[in-house]
Amino acid sequence: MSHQIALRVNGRRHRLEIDANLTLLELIRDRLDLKGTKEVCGIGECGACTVIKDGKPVSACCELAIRADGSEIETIERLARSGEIHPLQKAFIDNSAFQCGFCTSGMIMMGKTLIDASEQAKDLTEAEVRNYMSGNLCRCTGYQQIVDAIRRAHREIAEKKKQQPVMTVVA
Amino acid sequence: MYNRFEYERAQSAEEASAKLLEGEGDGETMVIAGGTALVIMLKEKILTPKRLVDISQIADLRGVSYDDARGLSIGSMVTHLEVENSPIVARNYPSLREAFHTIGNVRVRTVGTIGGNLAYAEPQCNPPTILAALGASVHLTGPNGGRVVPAEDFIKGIFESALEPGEIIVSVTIPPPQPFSACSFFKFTQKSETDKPTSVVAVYIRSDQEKRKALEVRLVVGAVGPRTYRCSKAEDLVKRCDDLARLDRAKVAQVASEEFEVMDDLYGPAWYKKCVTDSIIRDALKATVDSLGRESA
Repeated sequence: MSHQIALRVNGRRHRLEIDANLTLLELIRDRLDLKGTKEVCGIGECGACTVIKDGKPVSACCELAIRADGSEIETIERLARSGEIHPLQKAFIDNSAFQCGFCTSGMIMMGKTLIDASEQAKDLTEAEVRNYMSGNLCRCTGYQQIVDAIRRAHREIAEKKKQQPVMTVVA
Repeated sequence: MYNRFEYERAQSAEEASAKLLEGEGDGETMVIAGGTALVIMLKEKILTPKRLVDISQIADLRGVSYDDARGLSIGSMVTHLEVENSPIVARNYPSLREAFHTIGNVRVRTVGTIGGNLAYAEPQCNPPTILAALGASVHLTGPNGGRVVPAEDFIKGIFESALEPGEIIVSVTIPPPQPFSACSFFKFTQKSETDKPTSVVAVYIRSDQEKRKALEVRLVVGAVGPRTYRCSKAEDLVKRCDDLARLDRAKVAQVASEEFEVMDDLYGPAWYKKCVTDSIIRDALKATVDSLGRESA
């Protein structure tokens, strides 16, 4: 039996007819042709397939697509805006935080949820980043560059927000 | 790609229970909560249900509430992360927060639920042990109405819970914190702190006003054998001690070691688990007595 679902992926609305056994990862990669999200372990342990569902990180390989009905999904393809890459992507490049690159989109999406949920006034500590990222595996870098890149992006985003004037609404 | 199945969303625990019973006997209808374990089992074809009944969106199963008389109530579909981030939990049950903070990685905690964890009854996990130590109760609904099972009796064996055919977990309740009481949760892992445990220990002590004598003790060991073990002989030893600051922790740990089963698994051989458990029982006793306000030697 197939089911109708409706969801937003990277701001675009999609209506799809799917089988109940389709994973969110298969939907993203095979049905929507967004190949930035990777599959590695297939059992939710490595984090390469991390996407953001309604603001929270999930392992797309272990989510049933049917349970994403009505939700808002963000993938790595969402991050660059009008030709400009996200500070987290830039920090990964500047810190050489990847070699083969297979874990990178998952690392960045996971890191983004940490930065989005963290206070801006206080720097993220190395321990906080390592604890939060403990479910994302990289077999190339040894993690130090990844941790540094996330901390640096967090600082840069906080700096940028500080410089932006607060919008006031004048009636 | 894995086996095909039908999918339905239940609007209430009663509806889910009825649907479970329709498919009873053939094991073909299963409940899906957070799905963190179930979806992997489907992918690996270890489980091959014909129909999944999704209970994760049932509003009645989703809240966390507290009152001073009745204590804490956690809906069965509350996620691990919601327990961890709840200000009510942080304020009144810090050991519960600690235990939920180290269940799997952040993505597992985002999706996995307290009820799903209990129903799955996997030995290598944190919740049954801390819940038993806190004196929690598991509230069920089913074909014969509601019933309550103490958390310490809920896990029956490896992947076996107290759930009868057609029963659904509705909530978990924990009594309000008592004066002169403390609880500690210790988990030992071989890799990161969010890895599955080699051993977990939780100790609850309520003492007299002088904090010298224990009036109520729960010493619970998990992740070492098929279920969660309450070590009542070791608890008696703690209660018989006249001054908690001088408690013979090594003796308590030794007595406790006769009260739980240990098995080899991916997280260590039995002899190793026994050594680790002995050590963290002593640590947990010390931490609990210290947080009562009696610095132990």
